[in-house]
Amino acid sequence: MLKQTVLCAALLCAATARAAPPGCPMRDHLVPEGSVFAMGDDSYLKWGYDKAFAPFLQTDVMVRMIAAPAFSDRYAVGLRETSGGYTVFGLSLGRAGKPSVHCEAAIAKPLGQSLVAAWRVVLLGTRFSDDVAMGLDGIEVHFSMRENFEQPPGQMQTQFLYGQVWTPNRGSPPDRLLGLADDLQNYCVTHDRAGLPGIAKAAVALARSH
Amino acid sequence: MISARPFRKLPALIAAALLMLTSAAIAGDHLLPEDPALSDENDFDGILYGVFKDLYTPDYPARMIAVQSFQREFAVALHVKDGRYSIVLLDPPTMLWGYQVLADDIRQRDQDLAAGRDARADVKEIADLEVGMPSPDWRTVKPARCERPIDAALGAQLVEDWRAMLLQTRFAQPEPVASESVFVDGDILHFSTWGGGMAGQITTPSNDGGDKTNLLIAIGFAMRDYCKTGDAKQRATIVQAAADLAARLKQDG
Repeated sequence: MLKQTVLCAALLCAATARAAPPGCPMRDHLVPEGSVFAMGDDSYLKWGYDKAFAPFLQTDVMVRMIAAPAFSDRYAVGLRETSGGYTVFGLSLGRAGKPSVHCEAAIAKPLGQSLVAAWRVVLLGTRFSDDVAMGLDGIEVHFSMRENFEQPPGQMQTQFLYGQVWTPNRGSPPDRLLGLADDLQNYCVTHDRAGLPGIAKAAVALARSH
Repeated sequence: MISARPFRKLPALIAAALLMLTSAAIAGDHLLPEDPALSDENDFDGILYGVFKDLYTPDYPARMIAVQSFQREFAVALHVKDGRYSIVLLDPPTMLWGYQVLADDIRQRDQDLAAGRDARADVKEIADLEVGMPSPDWRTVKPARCERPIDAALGAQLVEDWRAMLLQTRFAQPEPVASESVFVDGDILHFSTWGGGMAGQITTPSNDGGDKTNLLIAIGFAMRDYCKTGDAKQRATIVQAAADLAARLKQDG
């Protein structure tokens, strides 16, 4: 999948006659997901999608991340709101597309809210860029969430936020969110609560970074 | 012919196409990202692309697809070849939204049949829809094509306007609340350019749509009208709106 992504990026570079070097601005922020209207034929846009990830795309999932590292299993982590707090759930997909890890773990409401806020801050920074990131390997990451709001007063609206990044620059908002999601996935698998204070601290810091 | 967009179907599609529409309805003075192709739910986007795919090649650096309530959809684009620019309009003979409704009805019929439910109402709806269509398969729809040359200076200005507006595409930043959305009727405009795979959308009338998005929309519609009529007034509208948009973008820095 990633090779195809690189091919796609190479084609984009050919089209724009511009390739970004490592650490380029594009990898400091998320870019909009590929759409039919942007790229035409959508068949290649669904490489990363596997039916096993369908539960992560349901509307009851508050925030989610689907990641595709170049040389290891694809994985996903999501957050659902429950009556008392939030539930983290995760999935790893082996080479044959079979789930290798399936996990679920509860977290407290304040931590869940901080994580949602962190996701939102990073997703609101989604934009296109003049530069195109490309490389031979790395990680392709997709973040998304939904939110409801009132605008104008009395009129309820729903907004769906989506964004992707390829191998984010170290310390950039997408990189920090990827780190948070990986820590969540780890907690989901191990249920080791010792890491939760660190996750909470990182989530609050990221949420306040905007 | 389908005389009106059958909005009775909208509740069934709320998790699909309306995800895009409700997002588009809240834009300010910028475009919003398109619905991602990662979703399996954007069937109508696929129909629009399929009918207008002739415009999705590198020699079309600026394009707009208009999805208007109760009217036929159309696509207008800028064509450039060997330094010569022209406006191209693709105008289908029927309302493409009908094919989305047809697909929804067929899906419902199949679900009813599989569950052993009475599907006669679905079958009748499907038959009624197909009677009004030139063909039950949207892949056979052939839009009428019009092409009209414009000068290179205007063409280059339009390319730059499209590029600059698409680079400003971003999500709206309202304060979130805990409630569900209600879709409000409106027209949807899809803008895109070839280089960089950029695309953005907006619904009109937007609640707080600003000058730049309104100018971009005005350019798109004037391009359609100029292609159809060759009317110098429409060309002047394009020139003025393109210049005004460039000035507004320059103000933004």
